[in-house]
Amino acid sequence: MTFGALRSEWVKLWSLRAPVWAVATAGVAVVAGGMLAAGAAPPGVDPLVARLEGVQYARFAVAVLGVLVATSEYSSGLMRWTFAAVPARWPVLVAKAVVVGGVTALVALVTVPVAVFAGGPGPVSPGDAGVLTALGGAVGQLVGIAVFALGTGALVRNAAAGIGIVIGAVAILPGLIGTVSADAARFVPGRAGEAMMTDTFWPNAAILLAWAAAGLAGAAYLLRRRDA
Amino acid sequence: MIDVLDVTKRYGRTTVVDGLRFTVEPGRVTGFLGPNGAGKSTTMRMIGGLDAPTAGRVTVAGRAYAEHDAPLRTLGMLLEAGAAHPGRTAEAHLRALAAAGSLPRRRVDDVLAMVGLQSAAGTRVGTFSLGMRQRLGIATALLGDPAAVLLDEPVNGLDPDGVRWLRELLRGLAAEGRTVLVSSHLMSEMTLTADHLVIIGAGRLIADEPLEAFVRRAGDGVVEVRSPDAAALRNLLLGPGVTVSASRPGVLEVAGLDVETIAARAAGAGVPVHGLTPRTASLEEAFMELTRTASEYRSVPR
Repeated sequence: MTFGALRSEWVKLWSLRAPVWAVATAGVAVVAGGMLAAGAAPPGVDPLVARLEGVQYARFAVAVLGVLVATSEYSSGLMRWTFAAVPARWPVLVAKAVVVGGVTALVALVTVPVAVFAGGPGPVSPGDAGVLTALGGAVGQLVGIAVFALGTGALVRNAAAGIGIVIGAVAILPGLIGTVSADAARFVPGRAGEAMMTDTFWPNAAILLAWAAAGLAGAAYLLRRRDA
Repeated sequence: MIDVLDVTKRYGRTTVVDGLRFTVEPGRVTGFLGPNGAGKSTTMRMIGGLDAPTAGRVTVAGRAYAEHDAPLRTLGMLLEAGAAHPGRTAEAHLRALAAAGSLPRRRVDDVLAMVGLQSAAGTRVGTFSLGMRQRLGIATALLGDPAAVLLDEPVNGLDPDGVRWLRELLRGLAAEGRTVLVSSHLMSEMTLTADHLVIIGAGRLIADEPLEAFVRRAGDGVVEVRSPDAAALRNLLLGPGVTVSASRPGVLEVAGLDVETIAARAAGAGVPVHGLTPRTASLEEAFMELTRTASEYRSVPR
């Protein structure tokens, strides 16, 4: 049954324009953003950091992807039919997370190495210090934010609210909280995601994972309690 | 078979469904009637396991909907027209739900053919007319080849051809031994389709009876008598508990006596009678009368 839910979410993702555009935008943002930033970077800027610039833009695209996959189903009323097919409900959420996370991972695995290693001045090679962490962190960050966005969308069931919350947590809150306490800012999804690439992978990955898991768990709980 | 067992549903302080109890039997079309706001849709969502009852329970084929291993084969639902994403094609919509319900892929083509949407399979639902969306909804309900079918206001948006098609479809489903529950706020449509009626108002059960019983009850007990000698007949019939009025010359409206008694008295006195008709109020009126007291959203009489 869970396999059926997975196949269903796969069909749903590719049969709408918006998610397909979001996936494509994320991929283009990683490569084009990285190349433009690397080309425009003044001397002295770490070429690796410049080439990962596009990942920061791609975060917005995968945030929209995650939120829309959850909310478009509520806004169209389709969720009732989906829940009729899968009355336990939570497998639907798990299937959505696997599909959104999996597709994001696939796009990131293809585009991040292209952005880092292809063309431009000051080439980066796979053996350089921090390169593997940066690659893994970039992929992990995008997957983590996409799944966090999915959980948030399923919690609020409204696209505008969901996108607002996720963009806030990714791009606005880190700076805002940073002005008060740099220590606290480390625990905000956006800052943890960046630190996965630029600092250490695991502790920061654990923070982002915790956010994503909390969003999904909260959504799964409400899914059981709320009338569809 | 669908059993609604003493179900109550409250939203905050508002009681939408109030101690409702009825059974939907297989092999016949059961019309689920009530004015708007009577609680029909809420009841149907509870049958399909989408809303949880505040009290009581609902079973489909003996078990709660969510406890079935193959729920889409047990019960198919049409809950609201157009509950498909407008950006998806009809075929992708059905394919996604067939996958979710672990149904074979060919069911998608089967139901598209059944509702006459094959040629629109690759068209985005957003471009559909209301009638086409209603057909897609019915196709979705039939996707699992279900033993029970639940359709909420399926007639809405259908053109006259579509209405006739739906009527035949529902009769066919019932003839195959399936359980069929169809809601409507229109009595006239149900008299053409339903074998049995469940009528609710303000969340409470008002009637649960065969269609014929309702039609019989709908009569108001007045008999119209046509006679060339109305004045003589009037004197023959008048008595305690009997009222006779004449709205047109040569026609008497008699309340308090049945057709047989009137005929016997007229024959006994040799008064010619040209017509004897028990008057039936229109079914729509009878239905409105029945639900008026219970209706929550009635218009204020002037």
